[in-house]
Amino acid sequence: MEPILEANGVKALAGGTAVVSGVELRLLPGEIVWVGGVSGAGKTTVLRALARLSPWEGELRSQGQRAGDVVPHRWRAWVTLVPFPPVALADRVAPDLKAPWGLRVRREARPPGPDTFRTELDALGLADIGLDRSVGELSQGQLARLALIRALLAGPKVLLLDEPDANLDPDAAGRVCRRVARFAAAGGAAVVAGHGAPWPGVARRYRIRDGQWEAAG
Amino acid sequence: MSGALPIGPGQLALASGFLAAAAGLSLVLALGLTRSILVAAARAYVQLLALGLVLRWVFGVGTPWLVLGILGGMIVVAAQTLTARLRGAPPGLFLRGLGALAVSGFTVTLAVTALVVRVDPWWEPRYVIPIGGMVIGNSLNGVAVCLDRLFADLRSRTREIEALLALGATPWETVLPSARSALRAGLIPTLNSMAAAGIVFIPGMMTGQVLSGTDPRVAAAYQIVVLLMISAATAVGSVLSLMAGYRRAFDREGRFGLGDG
Repeated sequence: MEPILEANGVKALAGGTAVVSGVELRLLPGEIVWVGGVSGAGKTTVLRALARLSPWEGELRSQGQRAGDVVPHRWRAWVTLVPFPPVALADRVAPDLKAPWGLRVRREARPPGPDTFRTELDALGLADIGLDRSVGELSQGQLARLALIRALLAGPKVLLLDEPDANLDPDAAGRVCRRVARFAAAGGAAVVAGHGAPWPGVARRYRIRDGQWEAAG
Repeated sequence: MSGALPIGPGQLALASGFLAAAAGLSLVLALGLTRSILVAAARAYVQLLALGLVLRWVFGVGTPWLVLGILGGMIVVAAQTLTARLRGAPPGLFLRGLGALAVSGFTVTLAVTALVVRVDPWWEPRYVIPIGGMVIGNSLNGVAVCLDRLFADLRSRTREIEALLALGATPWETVLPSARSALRAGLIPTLNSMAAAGIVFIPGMMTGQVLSGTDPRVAAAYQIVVLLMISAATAVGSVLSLMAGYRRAFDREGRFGLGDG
């Protein structure tokens, strides 16, 4: 099977210097991989490099295409980073979830409707959040799940999740984990960065130590 | 009528007496402005008398190249002033500012002198230079406010811009909300001055023409043309500088470069 995201000898840079070297990744559809490491190890920098939001060197491919052959905004619609801390893109819940659909990269596709929004919010434990609720009133944990739904519905091939379960109670964290597993089961893939225990069922684990990317089983 | 009553050296000296009063006030009240007042006044003397001499020479020479050269010189100085005024903006804005000011400055000035006022010849310095100066000066103000607001707004939206980029937005799509508020900020002073003209104040050009003996109705018509063209030049200059300048906040991969990290 062709990898949905591939990194060969990638260096993730910040401020002109390599923060993490030797990133090797072959992510197949259906796989979730875990990236661990202490705070400040460079997990975010690696995710940003994979999304082409930070400078990088080496070889990146998605679905057989070299990164250099795909315009950056199209690449990011395929390989979508959900940043930490989460960011609101509109004043209210429904417009926030619709925000990606105002972008040109999705103009050919049909946006999801309120029923889909409702189903997704319920699945992630946000049943009490109305679609017209002000986003400013949400907690960090609620906002994080909203941002995850926004990215999921935008139709990426790969999700890059930066600390997706920070600020979440165990029930909400479990829901997030199961939702991402469903995304992978439907042919997607995810790279999850966190400093807690890896999610159950991840295909592989990696660790960043002293600026080096290494396989951790 | 034969123009304004001339002001000789004696009268200029008398006018300076008023300035001495301001400087004296600053001394007595310890405002710490005495030196600034004197320097500013000296500069105004030297610069304006020099301008008078230069303009008199230019009016006498009678070649379009000289007039176009002077317009070009004003645009270069305006672009330098622009980059000096934009603190915290990304580098590399001089050429883009220069381009925006050149297009708006030349087009609007020559459109007004050649098509509206219909001066003959089209480069008649008595019209082209003062009108060009007003167009370029006002465009400069609009463009400076517009770009300043643009980059400040972009910087304050760093996380939102990154989140939008992560979802597949192009740089321009992330910039759009900031571009709107920047354009508004750039255009509002001009719109306000159009709305207040004639009631709150008598605009400078009309004042000058009335003092020099022009029929106030003619002076009013000129002033209207000037106000309209200033707002056109400000709008054109601001839009162009925005289109040319916003890319400086992103690198070639479309990554945002104004944030802290």
